Amino acid sequence: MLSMARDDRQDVMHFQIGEVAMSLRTPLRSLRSQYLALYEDFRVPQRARNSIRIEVRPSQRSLRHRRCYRVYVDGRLRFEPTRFKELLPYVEWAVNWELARVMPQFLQLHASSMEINGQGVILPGASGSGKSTLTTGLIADGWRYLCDEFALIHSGTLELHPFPRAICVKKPAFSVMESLGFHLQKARHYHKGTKGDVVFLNPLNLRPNGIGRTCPVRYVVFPRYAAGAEPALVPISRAEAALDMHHVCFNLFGCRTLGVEVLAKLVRGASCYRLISGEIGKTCRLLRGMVEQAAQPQALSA
Amino acid sequence: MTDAVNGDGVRLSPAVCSESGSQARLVRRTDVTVYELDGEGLVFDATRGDTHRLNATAMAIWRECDGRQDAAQIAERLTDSYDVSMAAAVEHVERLLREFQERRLVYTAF
Repeated sequence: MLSMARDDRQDVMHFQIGEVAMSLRTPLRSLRSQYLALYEDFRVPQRARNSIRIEVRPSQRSLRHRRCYRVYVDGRLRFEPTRFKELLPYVEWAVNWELARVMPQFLQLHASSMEINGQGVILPGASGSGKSTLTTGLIADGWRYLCDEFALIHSGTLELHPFPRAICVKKPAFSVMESLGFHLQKARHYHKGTKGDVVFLNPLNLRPNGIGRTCPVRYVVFPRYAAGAEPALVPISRAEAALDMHHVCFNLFGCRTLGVEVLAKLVRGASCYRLISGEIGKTCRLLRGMVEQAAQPQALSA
Repeated sequence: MTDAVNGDGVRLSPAVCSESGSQARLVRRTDVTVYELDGEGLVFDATRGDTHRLNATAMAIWRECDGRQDAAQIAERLTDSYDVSMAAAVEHVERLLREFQERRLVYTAF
């Protein structure tokens, strides 16, 4: 009977997060409310073309009599987490997973990306290099957020585009967040694979007007966290920077334009450095000094 | 395998030369893409999917790999531009030519 038909339109939500369009369909009301807590401001009424479609369903109990969940990406089963607190990290990961396929017009680097005074700054680095912590520190210092996990570089214009996803903070960085004035006691904790306990921060809650706009790339800085180290910036050649960015590129061969060519063109307009990051306040002041003075080919230190 | 001939008429063997002594005459591959960045080079080898960075000295030596000069002759040209002894230049050039061979960025000319 028609009156018995379940209207599942309420189960699906659409979002436009910077350049990235995605839809989340799930009957799990708690997951929807967790996702809205992070992305309510990016919600849109209709599904966009090339939208990434994520679906999360509870599944049959497993052999160990535990409930498990299924995460589908564009109709294909990708993940089967067993705990509810793993779900949101898997939804985030599922979006990352699909980016290269749905956005071949962008070269995608594993990097934080920020904007300050209309200038783009890319902070490439592998997991554990301190990108997200540094990103949050820079937001607190007045920089504008583009993304904590990706640098989306348009292969034609070479401009850096925003993808202001929620910032993922790992447990070892919680105390740094507190020192920056971001209180995590009430934040919901999630479990993210080998990274352990994490918290997701809505970047719009960190600072008013804190989201950056599309901008040209002016700086490429490779951060490496060293506990207790005096922060320092060391200039590197553009060829070295391009080669190192090529190592952290997600779609070097899947980009519409040859990835190496994009990187070679990109670094021609950028100053390139390695950053030894230490205490967050000093490190942010050092980076602010970098953008406030004309880039000189000499080592800077805090 | 039939040997190829480059635009200058130099006969090339696609096999990497097992001898890398100073007598070897190497010719740089022309089927790679080179992006010059402040005197350094980013070399993309599409057939192997490899990317290499050549510093300024390596780029200078790479440019000299025309299949007509051996390591000593390339070194001699380098001493015109760099403040380095002939012996040190030869050693440096030989080391870089070996590296070019290992990375398959050069052919051996006969």
